[in-house]
Amino acid sequence: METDAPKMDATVGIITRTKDRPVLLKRALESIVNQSYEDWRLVIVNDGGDPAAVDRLVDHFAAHLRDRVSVIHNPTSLGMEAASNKGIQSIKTRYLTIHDDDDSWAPEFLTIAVAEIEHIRQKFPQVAGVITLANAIYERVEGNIVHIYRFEPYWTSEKRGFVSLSELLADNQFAPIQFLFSYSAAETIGFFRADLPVLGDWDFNIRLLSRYDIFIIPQFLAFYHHRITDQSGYGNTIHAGKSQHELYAKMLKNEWLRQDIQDRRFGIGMLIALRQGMHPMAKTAQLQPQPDQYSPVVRLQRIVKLIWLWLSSDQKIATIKKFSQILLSGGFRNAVHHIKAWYISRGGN
Amino acid sequence: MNNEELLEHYTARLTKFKIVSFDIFDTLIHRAIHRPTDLFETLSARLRHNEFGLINPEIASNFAHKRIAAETEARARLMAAQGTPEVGLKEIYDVLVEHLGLSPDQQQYLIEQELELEEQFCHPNPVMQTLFRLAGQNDRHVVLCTDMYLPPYFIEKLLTKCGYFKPYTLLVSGDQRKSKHEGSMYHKVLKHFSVQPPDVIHFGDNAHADVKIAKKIGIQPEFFNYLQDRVEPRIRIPLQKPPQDGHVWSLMTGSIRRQLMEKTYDFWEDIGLQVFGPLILGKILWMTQLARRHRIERMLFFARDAFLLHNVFHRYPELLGPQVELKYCYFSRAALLLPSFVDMPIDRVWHLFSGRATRTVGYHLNKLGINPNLFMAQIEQAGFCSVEEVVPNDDMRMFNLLNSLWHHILLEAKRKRSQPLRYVAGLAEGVTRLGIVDIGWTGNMQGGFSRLLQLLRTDFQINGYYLGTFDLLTQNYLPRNTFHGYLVNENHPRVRYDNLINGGVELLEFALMAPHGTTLGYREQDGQIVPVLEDNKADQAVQKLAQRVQNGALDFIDRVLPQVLTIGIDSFVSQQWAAPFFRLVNNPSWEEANMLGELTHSDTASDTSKRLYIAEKLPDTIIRKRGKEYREARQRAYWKKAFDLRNA
Repeated sequence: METDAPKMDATVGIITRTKDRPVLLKRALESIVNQSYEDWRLVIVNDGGDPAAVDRLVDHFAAHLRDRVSVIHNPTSLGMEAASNKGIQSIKTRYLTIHDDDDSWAPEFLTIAVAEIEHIRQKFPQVAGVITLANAIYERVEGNIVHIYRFEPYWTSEKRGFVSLSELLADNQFAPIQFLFSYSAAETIGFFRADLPVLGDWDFNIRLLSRYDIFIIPQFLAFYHHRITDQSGYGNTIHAGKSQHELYAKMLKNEWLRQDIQDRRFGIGMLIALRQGMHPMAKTAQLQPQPDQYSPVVRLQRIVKLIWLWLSSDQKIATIKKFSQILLSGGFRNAVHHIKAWYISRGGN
Repeated sequence: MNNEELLEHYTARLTKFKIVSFDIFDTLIHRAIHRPTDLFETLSARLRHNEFGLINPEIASNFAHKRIAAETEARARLMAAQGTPEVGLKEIYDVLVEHLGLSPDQQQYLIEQELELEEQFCHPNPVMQTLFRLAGQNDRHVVLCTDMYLPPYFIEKLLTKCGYFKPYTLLVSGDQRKSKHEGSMYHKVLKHFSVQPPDVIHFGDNAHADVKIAKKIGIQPEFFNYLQDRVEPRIRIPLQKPPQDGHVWSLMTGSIRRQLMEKTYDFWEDIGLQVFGPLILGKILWMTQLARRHRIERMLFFARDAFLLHNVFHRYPELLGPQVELKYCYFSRAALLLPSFVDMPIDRVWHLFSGRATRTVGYHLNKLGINPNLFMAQIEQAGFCSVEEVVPNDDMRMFNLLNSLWHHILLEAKRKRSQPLRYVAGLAEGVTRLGIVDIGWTGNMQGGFSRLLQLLRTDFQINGYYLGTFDLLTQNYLPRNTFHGYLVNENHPRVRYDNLINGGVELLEFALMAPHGTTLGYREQDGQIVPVLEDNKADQAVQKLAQRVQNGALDFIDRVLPQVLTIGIDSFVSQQWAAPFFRLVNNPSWEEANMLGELTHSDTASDTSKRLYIAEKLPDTIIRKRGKEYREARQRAYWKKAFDLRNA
């Protein structure tokens, strides 16, 4: 899969796309210069935003960046994936990663990701990328201040081993910030589709996983930041541009299915269609009354058992205090979640 | 009467008699097992794990029952043929040959195995050792009478091993076809020495054979019930054989009895001998079996809880073999946890401020290298009024606050990483298969060690060997790491987990404490990274008590481990060794609750100055009221059973 290029700019190429988000870009640059691993090359692609702001920030970090950074200013926006491709094609490295301007890494992300991809490929040469686990950070931006108000493991952080292709067809399993992949593998599949304003990373991941494997490093080394209520430039595309996501998701699925029909084969398009066809059946089955699962009698039994477990506990008052605190600070849903966990951990069914 | 007084009393009694007769088993000689028939279970366990059992599983299976059944039948046959049931060992095994179709070689092998175990387990009675020597003085004759199937030559061998030397006359029921039980043995003695009954004094432990029958004949009996009178009242473990691994329980009981016979122990040494010694030995055997399977190249013993285990493995290099390097290394939550924050699973932050000793918000942040004055907005957003607010245990606000400062925590961790990283790298240098020994619980130390090492290498495999692990271990799941718990694994079995979290953990952490302070950090000295240890007076007082406990534990281990090594470790890998410990946690005596409850414990990283009682004794006024103060004190107590007992 990989051949060592005669001259590599570095082992890892980092592509950071930005547009008029200096507050977040600053955080992203901090995340990069704080990396313990030093053999990287950063390409900042300013896709239609104010060049001066980007240049000022790069100057600010000059001592840390040293000669490892280059900046591409696009006078007008080319779109996220075209911007990525432009950045990628300006360098040659063994591995690549897309570090968007609004996300961040733990300082050891690159150290561990590079070590693990090289280690796992000794046993599984078909691996072309690794992802780490991520925490989802919910925040809002007020001027130069970023307020974090919630954080939790990203929804796919229970996954282990290799990324599942069939699951990826249903939904994107990871964010770009989690991902380190082989340059040559990306080149083989033609990098990113420049015509996709959204979901370009999902399409890329599917095409990559159709040929290679992606290994999951079970450590929380990446941070996927969300600004849900923000419809401005600071908003995430998955939140701020939700309707666009739905549009292009359908477009891609139609494309793949059309290609399969044309080629008369059972490919990605067929698989997705089949999954979508099975999904309503599965949902219907779930909606069928489950006699024992949620009947009032069973619920009542569980409540009685919960009370009994509390009464037989040695820490009755502490338990009440703890859940009250969670209710006050984390809300009703959070409190219920913790109570359920307590119940199950003590043998509740 | 103590032993000296008892000896004096018996010596004075000897003067009137010409013949001094002794029973042998449980008088002159004891076996370090609970009951004589337990020896067959040990033999059975040995056969289940050795080469003979591998080739002959049908013989090895349930061997104890077969052996006992053969003896019963042999006695019945002899009774029918000769009117006496007093068989010899060969006759018993002749019946076994018939039952199991043994070849002559197999029969000989099994006989040798049984005799080897008899020899392994026998030890002298300290009072009788001296009395025996005195008995032969002043022209008195010594005769040894035993109702036993073992051959006379072998019994002589045991006697010699236990320090009972000739001249004496040995009469064995299986050889003589006479017994004390029937009385015929005593007549043999009288005839042999041409004496009258009043000329003979007989010492023995059996109320019927050694006392009632002797008295009936006119011989002066001395009921020497040493075990029941003087030893068993001091035993802390339940004297009821468990249904599983009875041979382990038997060896444990017998060995404790032996030690109690030979030595006087204060409370702390006694707890070590009877509770922590067996537990530690159990863990040692279990982890040795596993470590051999895992082909460990280097075993790292983490301070402070693995101090005793390191001591034992160092004294017994045959456990893991001389090729396995043993290293004692200095880690603690204070020294390792923050630097090992390479990644950020949100639940790990609990460990940054957990502990029953409460501190302020500002204290916790400063300890993490975070200036609280720069983050007042986040502190308020988390729900605190000020940095002076005290953070209760398990406080969700603190959890939220620290997670919101993840970026600073990770940066601070990176800043503090250099020396711990070098220390870890040095410990792992040159090997790929590492073992870690520590007390256990959530695997933070192994997780931290591995997370640091992975920054430098990927070619390693770590197996951790712990007393137990809790379900929070999942935070420390990493590639190339496996965690093994002796007593519990990720909270299972539930009953044992409940015992551990209700005082068991604190008792263990006390008993295993090393004679040095906790590790606060590291520094460079002559190009090497060395630990910086805490010097804490309150901690030192507890260390001294822990040393006495460990001395008792070592007495037990030094007594039992050589025997186990000879018989075979695999036969003795069992959780029965932990039974006395769980009895202590669940059902302490008043003395145990008082003495151990008065100990103090620190569970806050790098903050051993804040110590709390394991089970505080409250003033009578508070006990009587049973009000809020009482409830809060009970809440604070680590060991609830002891608290309830002390404050009843």
